[in-house]
Amino acid sequence: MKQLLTIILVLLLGNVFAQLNTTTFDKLDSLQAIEKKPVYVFIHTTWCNICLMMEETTLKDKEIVNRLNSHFYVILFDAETESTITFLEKSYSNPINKTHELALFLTNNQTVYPTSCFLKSNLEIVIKKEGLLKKAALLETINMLLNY
Amino acid sequence: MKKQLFILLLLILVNTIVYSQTITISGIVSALDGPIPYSIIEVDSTKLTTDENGFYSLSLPFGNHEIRASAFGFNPETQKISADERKNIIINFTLKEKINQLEEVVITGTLKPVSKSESSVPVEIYTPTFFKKNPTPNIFEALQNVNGVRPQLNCNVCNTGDIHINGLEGPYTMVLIDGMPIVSSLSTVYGLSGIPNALIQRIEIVKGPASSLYGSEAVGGLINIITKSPEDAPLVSADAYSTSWLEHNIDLGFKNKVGEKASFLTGINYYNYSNPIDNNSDNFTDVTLQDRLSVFQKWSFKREENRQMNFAIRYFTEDRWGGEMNWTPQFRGGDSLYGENIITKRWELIGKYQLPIKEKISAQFSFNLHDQNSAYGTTFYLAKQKIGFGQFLWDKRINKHDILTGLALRYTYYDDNTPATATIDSLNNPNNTFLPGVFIQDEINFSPKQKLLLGARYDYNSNHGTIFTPRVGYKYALNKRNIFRINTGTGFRVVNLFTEEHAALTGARKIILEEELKPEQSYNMNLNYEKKIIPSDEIFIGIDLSAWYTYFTNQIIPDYATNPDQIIYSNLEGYAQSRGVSVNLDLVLGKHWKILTGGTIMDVSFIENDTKERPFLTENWTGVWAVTYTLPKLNLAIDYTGNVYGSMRLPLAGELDPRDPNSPIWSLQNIQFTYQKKDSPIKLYGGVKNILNWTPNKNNPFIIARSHDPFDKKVTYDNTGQITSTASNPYALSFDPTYVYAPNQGIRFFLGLSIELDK
Repeated sequence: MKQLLTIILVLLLGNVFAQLNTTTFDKLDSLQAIEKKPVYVFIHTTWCNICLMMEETTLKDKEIVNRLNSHFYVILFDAETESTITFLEKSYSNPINKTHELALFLTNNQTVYPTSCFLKSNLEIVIKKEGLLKKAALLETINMLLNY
Repeated sequence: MKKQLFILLLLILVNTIVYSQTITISGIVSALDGPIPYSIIEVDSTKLTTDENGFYSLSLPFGNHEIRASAFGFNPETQKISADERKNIIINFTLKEKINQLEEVVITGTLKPVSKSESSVPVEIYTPTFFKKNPTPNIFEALQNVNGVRPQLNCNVCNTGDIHINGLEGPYTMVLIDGMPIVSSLSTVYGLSGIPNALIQRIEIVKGPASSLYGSEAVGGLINIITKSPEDAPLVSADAYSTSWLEHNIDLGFKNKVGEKASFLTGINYYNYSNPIDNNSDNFTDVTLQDRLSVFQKWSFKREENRQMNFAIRYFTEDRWGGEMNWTPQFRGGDSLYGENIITKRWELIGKYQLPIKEKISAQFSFNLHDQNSAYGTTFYLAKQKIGFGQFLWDKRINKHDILTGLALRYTYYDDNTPATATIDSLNNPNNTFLPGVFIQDEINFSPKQKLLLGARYDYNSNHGTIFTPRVGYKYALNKRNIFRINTGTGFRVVNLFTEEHAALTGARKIILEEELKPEQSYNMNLNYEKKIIPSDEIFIGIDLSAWYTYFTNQIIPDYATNPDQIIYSNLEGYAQSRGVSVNLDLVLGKHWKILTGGTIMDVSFIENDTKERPFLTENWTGVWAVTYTLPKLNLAIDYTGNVYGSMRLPLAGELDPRDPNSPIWSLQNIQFTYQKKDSPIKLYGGVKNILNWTPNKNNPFIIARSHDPFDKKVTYDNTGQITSTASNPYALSFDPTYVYAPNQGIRFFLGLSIELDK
């Protein structure tokens, strides 16, 4: 009964998109040890509706999901998370429950939501794009990075 | 540059020494504004990266080559060379930035005007971004833009007000600053208009009882004002605006570091309106004259393990008067010219200290002193209130449980010159109330989808005994786009007539207590559904739907109708209720439109002897909106804000009173233009307030009864004490400034400038 309900709800809400495989900063090191891939960090917050717009459209697009899943490690980073994160052997935290230090670092202290941040496999920042990226814009960035 | 030159020279040197059939090609890849680091150079099948200065160098065999330079975000460029002699060639590239049509204008969500907490309790969070859509000098006026919240003026002359949440009067709402109960009782009357908007980091609003965490007074709702910290304030900020009524508001803020660990933020607000205007020709000031200063300083200290320690101090002083146009302070308290003059002085101290132990325990404390020296015509009201508050909070996470428990003590001292604080023998007897309390709240995170909140609070009031307020909240997040919440709780409130009822203390009407007033107790249930719809990458629709029901076992409702010279208070023989539904819509349409709008339909009534009645000054429906249209190319934003309220019953002063017994449907609408270049610290704004030029004078012969005879010198009474109708007093009225609900201020223009510097 419960499963049926879930299925109906899923169908109703049209939640039939490809699923993005995501990871976390903590797991990056071990993942990169297995296979080197660039990293896509999607910086967002829980209250940012524009971020949700991008999450629900661009980041659920089949082509984007396929490209990201096969060529990138993807991190959905809540810029207001309370947890402490180690990045490039440096520890970042969120002492005053506001913007996380790592989000500030990745965006050079000018955090805009959402921000799409691309890192090399050695976690060097390549490029960051502010705001809602539509499919074409994100795809273009991804393709340029892969050819790069 | 030196380094590059050096490398270049070195390379040239090396190459001239080592003879080979190769040539050396070097150069710099740059954009119009400087070199591009780590750009790509491709020749034949070799690919290399330039250094951080855009410099590259490579050796090639003789022959024809094509060199391609590319960089991320730029159009690649190719240059042909033919190398047939041993020579060092310098080939520079200047790449043009790729212009991406799609990214010309980006939508971002960085400035959050309104959001909702993650908690199972529906907490609405409003930030200065929201309130700046319609700039106002203080919190009282700012709240007119919030759905379900109506700031109401209670006095035509002195413009005091209270905040109605979902149709419930001001005293049902608890106002906190940084979570501390320092705006209660006396200070609610003039306190809210004394809190400048520049102080606010955010405002949290809970509609419905929030008693278990903050105390039993939060029956109708809670407004928690979170002040700015040095961490989130700009280094220097200044904001000033004036209106065509010559109202001036100035906010100044700056922060500084003291040593490595301490930093402080200072905020100064000055508001002045000293230009008496009488557009409705009743010889009374339309808007109360005000001269107000607020000085705020908050200190914050860096400690180990990010433990918190901060304290803030605020001083506030205000001198306001309203009355006959030619009133001056020398007429204060006299009966020749009518004036209401209120001089307020207020000190606030707020602090938080997290104990230097492993457990997360913090001590919070606040103290405030409120001194009000007022003269309403010939009636003096001199009152002093002190509130001391302290609490220990212990935040503990055990697996799925997020437990918050606390021990609180509030002490209230209240003294005035009325019989309220006197013994039977007319000796002064100030009120001292101790209110210790203990509370516990457990938020259980069953799964990322489900949260259950259990709360209980036990207070002991030294005047009224024990008060127990439980609460239950449940949140179910089907996904990020569908969230359900259900909340129930109770409230408990003891009426303080003098500090709550402005009409009572002005002396315009006599107060009659028919019996001993019992406390009011309430039970509430609140359902909330949040839905986010994203039909495309251009449109966002956020819907926030709430339904509530509050049942009051007793409610003290002032009776203005029985005798126009009296306010009669008695317990309710029946019950009262407040129920309704409200909806908030948050729309993003393409790159230019952002719309926040909401509406509330409610039924606030009391049921006595099987008859249902709506209290005075309570509307059945309200609506608010804030429509923002941005023109990024022109650096311009246009805000159209407004509200609309349904009709309310109004208290008339007698059977012959010609004023409208019901307010019309009324609306205040404003438009603002904001000009700010991207990344510029300077912002210019201006616009029109009350574009419909609506005031409560519309369709009324007058709004202040007998404004020409404010001391009732020409009023005659019959032997039963009733006012008689005479040629000079055809409506049989006495002076009455309580027929009011909205600002008596028509259309006006405003212009302002704001500067924020961060470095």
